[in-house]
Amino acid sequence: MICAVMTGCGKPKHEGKDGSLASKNAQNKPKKPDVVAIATGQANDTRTDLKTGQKMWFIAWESANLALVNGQQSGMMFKVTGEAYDKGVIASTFIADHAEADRAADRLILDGGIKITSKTSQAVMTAKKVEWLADLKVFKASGDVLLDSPQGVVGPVDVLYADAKLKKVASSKEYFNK
Amino acid sequence: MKRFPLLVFLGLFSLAAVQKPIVFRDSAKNPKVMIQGNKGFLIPGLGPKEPGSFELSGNVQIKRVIEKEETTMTSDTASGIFFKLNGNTEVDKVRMTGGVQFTQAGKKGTTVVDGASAEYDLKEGLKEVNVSGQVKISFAGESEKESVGKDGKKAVSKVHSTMSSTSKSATITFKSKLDENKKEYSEVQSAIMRGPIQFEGLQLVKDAEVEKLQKVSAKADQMRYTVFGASKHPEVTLEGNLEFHVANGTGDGSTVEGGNSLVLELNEKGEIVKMKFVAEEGKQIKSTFLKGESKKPAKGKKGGA
Repeated sequence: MICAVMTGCGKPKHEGKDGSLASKNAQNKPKKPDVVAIATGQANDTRTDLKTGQKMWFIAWESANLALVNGQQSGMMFKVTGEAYDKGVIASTFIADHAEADRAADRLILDGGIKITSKTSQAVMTAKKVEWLADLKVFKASGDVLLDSPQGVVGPVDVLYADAKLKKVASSKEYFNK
Repeated sequence: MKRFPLLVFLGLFSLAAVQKPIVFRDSAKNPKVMIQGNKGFLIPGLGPKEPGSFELSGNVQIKRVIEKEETTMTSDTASGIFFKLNGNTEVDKVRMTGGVQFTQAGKKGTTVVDGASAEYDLKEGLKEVNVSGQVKISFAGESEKESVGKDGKKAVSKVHSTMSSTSKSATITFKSKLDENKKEYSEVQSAIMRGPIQFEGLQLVKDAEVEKLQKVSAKADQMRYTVFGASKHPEVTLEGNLEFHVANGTGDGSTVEGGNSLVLELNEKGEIVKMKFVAEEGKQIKSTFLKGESKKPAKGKKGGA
């Protein structure tokens, strides 16, 4: 549900009216992106792999300050819950205090009060910050990372990479195949 | 320009110094199995049907704790699997390379094994370690001895005895046992060492009712250490191209060459309490007496056993 819409879009502010040199110079400069800021209440978003058409992640939030930059959505979401997918199937669920999404850069970052729960192994990962690496379908967790599972505990460690199922964890992303 | 590589090196060094290792424990409280390394991956596993695995490098440490007994393996790299056995996480098929050290601190002392590479496996309830590349095994026993001072007061002191042996490769087998309180512990069941052996030990001798320890060193092609020998005491058997030397505190002693085997019976502290020298009939035995620090031959004799 969109609550408010605002800020500048449309023509660049310094464009000349008469087609003068100043006006031409302005046209040659890189065009500023069209930005639409949106404050929203409860809403959700789903990211799909454009190559396979399979779901990659789903996120729902209580409130958000979003921006539409050249038609791509980005911004900060608060009190988030979501799901991470592996081959189109839910691999884990997550909650966090806030999340930052940038579709243009294909980024999803969770921050504060993070808890990711595997749907297959009962493993739970907690951390201060978690970034979803879309190309590898891997979580990059940082800050007192702890993975607790019936098999054992990994951490606490500064940085830990984990697949969507929290089945495999590693010290770097090199241990995951693209 | 010349400073740049040094700065890069220092930067990388400081990064490595502050980086926390990746650590796995089988449980958060009172862990029995702990695995850690600077780099690598871990798959904790999904239960008995899907065992986990790990590959780690950089200051790797694998530790198992049973009651008050600790087994620690350190190396540069390690890989292996873990799985659930009777509800506990166990490690198996562990392959370690680079500066391997295996330490078991138990009820009867500490066993330390050094080597270039090692394989650790669980086989029919036994834990087996195969080590290769300039192997050194040390068995350190510790006991308390009571003595009476000149003032008539009793004093208790700790006595350490160490037996060590070097070789090219070794297989050490550990067996889990239950103590008098039915608590599990494991001890060395056997050790087989291959390649040129250099053995060092301490022999317990009585001189006018006073117990003394004297050094025993030996060279051989093979060594067997067996805890449950026919004598029910730990036994060391040295075989092939045998040469051994016994020396007292002042360095006086004798060297014996030839013979088929030397059997050393040990007490629980790892001290040699009995020596049995076996030689085929008619076999040439050379015995040399050595005197003092210089160890120059003082007297010699040759003869059959």
